[in-house]
Amino acid sequence: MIFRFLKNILLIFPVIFLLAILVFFLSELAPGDKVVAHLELNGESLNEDEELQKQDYIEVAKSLNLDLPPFYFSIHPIAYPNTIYKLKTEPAGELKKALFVKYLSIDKVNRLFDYLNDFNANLRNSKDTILDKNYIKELLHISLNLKNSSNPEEFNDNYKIFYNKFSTPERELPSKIVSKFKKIDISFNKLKSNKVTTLSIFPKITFYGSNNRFHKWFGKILLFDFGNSIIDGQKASTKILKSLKWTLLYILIAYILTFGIAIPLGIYTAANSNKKISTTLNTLFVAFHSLPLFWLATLSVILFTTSGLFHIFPSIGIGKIDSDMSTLRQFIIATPHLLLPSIIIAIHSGAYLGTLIRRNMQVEMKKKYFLALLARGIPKKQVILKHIFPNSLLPLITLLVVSFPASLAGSVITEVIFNIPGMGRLLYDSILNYDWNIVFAIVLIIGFVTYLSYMIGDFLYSYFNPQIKYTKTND
Amino acid sequence: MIRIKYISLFIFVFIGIFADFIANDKPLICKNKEGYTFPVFSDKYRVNQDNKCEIILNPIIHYSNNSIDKLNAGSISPFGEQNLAEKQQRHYLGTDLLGRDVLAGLIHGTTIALKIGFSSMFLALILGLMMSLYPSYFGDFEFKAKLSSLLITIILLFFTVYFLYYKTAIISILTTGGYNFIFIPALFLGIIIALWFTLSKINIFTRQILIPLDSMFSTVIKLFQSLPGTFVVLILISLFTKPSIYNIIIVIAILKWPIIARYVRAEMLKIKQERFIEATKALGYSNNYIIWKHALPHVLNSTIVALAFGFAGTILLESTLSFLGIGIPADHVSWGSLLSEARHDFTAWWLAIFPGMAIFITILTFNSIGNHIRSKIN
Repeated sequence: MIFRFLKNILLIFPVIFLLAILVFFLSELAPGDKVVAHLELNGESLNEDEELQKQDYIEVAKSLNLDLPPFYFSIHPIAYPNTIYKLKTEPAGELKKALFVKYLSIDKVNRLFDYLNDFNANLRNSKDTILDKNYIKELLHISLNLKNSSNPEEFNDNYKIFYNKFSTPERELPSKIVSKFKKIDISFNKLKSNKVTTLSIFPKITFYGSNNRFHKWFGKILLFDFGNSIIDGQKASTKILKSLKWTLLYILIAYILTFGIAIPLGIYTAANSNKKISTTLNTLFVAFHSLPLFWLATLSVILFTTSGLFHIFPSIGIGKIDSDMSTLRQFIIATPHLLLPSIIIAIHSGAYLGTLIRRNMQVEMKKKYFLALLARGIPKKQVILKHIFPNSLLPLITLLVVSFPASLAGSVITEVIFNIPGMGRLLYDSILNYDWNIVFAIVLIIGFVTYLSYMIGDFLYSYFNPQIKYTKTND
Repeated sequence: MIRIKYISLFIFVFIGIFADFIANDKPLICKNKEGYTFPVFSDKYRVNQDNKCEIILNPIIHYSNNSIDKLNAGSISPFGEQNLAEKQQRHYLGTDLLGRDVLAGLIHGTTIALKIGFSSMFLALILGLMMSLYPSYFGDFEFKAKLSSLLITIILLFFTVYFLYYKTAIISILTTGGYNFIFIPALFLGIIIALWFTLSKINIFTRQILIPLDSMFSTVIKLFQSLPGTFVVLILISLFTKPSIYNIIIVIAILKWPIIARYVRAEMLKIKQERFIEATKALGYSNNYIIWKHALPHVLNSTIVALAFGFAGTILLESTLSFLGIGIPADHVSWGSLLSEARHDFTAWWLAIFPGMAIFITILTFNSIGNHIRSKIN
């Protein structure tokens, strides 16, 4: 058993690594431009000047390690250049990548964009010449439109408009601009007629070494640095810790209440299974567990808080709390506010726990030792409390340990309804605001806690029930 | 008692299918110069604009889920005074803040619940069968494969993922080079087949390897089951840029298949011991034949229990998501999204009670049907 436990503890490291890989690739899939989000956070309104804007973008992208390859290695078609990941640092990276995927030459795409930038700069500078200001604005609008297209099809359409406008201009253009335009046209045609060998569809593996984004990100994770929130720039770890204390507080209260409700009622219904009260209680158990938690919570808010019909509990939220109060004082102020959510959770999960206790006890009561004890003249009450109940707890041990991460994760609904600034609420807000650093930090934490609690549950189960030998069985 | 479950199941399915005919702002049958028309089926019909047609039959509830009654906006109670043109147009269960009828929303929400529940359970059934039927039949000690076939399978799996991931680039490579789009895939297939043949001739690769299918796949099932549900769904759905019903169906199916897979596995382990399977094996039928013709019907019989429980869970999950506002797109209505409006106005009890009751009754129905079937099977 000890060896098994040690093995599980050693397994933590590969589990963390695998979990981190999974979370990393999920975070790569997340929608939204990280660089733009970061720029907006710092309050740097996008620069008017296109050159400066580009420089800002590249700078932030580099600070976010976006110029590094994503992983230790990558597998891609031979037609792809090894440095394809670098497109992420550039402002028009998405379009460039899409154009590359369509025409398969990164050099030609880059050349086209260089010419386009040059062309735009020239157009802007020619404001002082004989040409009308409005006319130049119109031209500039068209050429910028071309650069801001979202996909290759749109680019093609915009290019047609662009081509018609500049190949047969309404007014005479300076010779410099005309020559630049011809360059663009030639380079685009070259790009379109680009040919690659068909054999380059086959995969190629490139190794990038340890200088990659995952490596750096994982190194930070191990030091509990999950990056910053994009909403207020606070560290993700401090934000999560701040919210976690509320979640833990009311989950603790809820656990106490759950046991307080479920254990006596479960024992009572099991001991007096032929009485009418226990059948009603059983139906109540089933009904309360079938009730959707969010409905129960909403109804309780409507009925029992300050805004509701019966004013029994204080308002939702956690009361008036200053951040410079001591934690204990904060808890004392918040506890009355957290009572109602805890009671709701306790009713919901206590109903389930009560049914389980009753069922397990009835299984135990069918065994022969129960009859033997009764035959010896020991009072039924004593037999049930001293012998049946402890024996029926065994299957519950794993359930209790395993239910902890589930209640952490399930806290989203309760916290949103009762307006508690806990972890579920933080997750919900972060998802709505695309604050991915916090979301994936929470994912990592919950995943880790889940693994830990399963491990502890496994250990406790084999500790309390030495009969269990871990052999290969069909369960 | 048994009947009530099935009656409410029938009502649920009936309302779900015929929601458009029960609650709609368009009349069912109309009469104009050309004869009878059915505006329910046409999208072009506009309320109060088509004066030419004489209404023959109206639906029972005169509102659709999106039709806004401006005169009764601002959460009118079902017992409150309502500003109505006709007596029949009463909002029997009140209105919400914008003036939408709650009853019409409930009826159209049934369609969404039915759609999402049915399709995600169907997907989950297929996924669950895929992940558990063969593994549980063969168990840990019966499935043997040649090393060569194993290698080829791994290579093919790799290429499938690879081609799917780079599909746009690969298509554009293939289309740039003339007739190569026929030649290269043929060459690729040729290489794979040739590799297969040569490998199966080499001694080392013809060795049979025991594959512990059952423990492999049941580990995956346990892994998926240990995921905290609501949480995973929240994250997965937020990764989609556009909200749509199909995303929810897929995500819920991904979360719910382990339940079905576990049922199938448990059932298959039981059936494997039965005499008739032994007899068919002795008669020399192939494993495929036994699985599909003899084992699967028995397995599916008891999987209905898992489907019933899963259906209840699916409806709960969907309404939870819509309640949080991350579920279905805004132009659809679901019981959860109706309930979430009660959060903005705590005095409007009818916005909380009725959708909640609908969810509760449906969940209870499916749970008790599951219990009933389970007790009948055992």
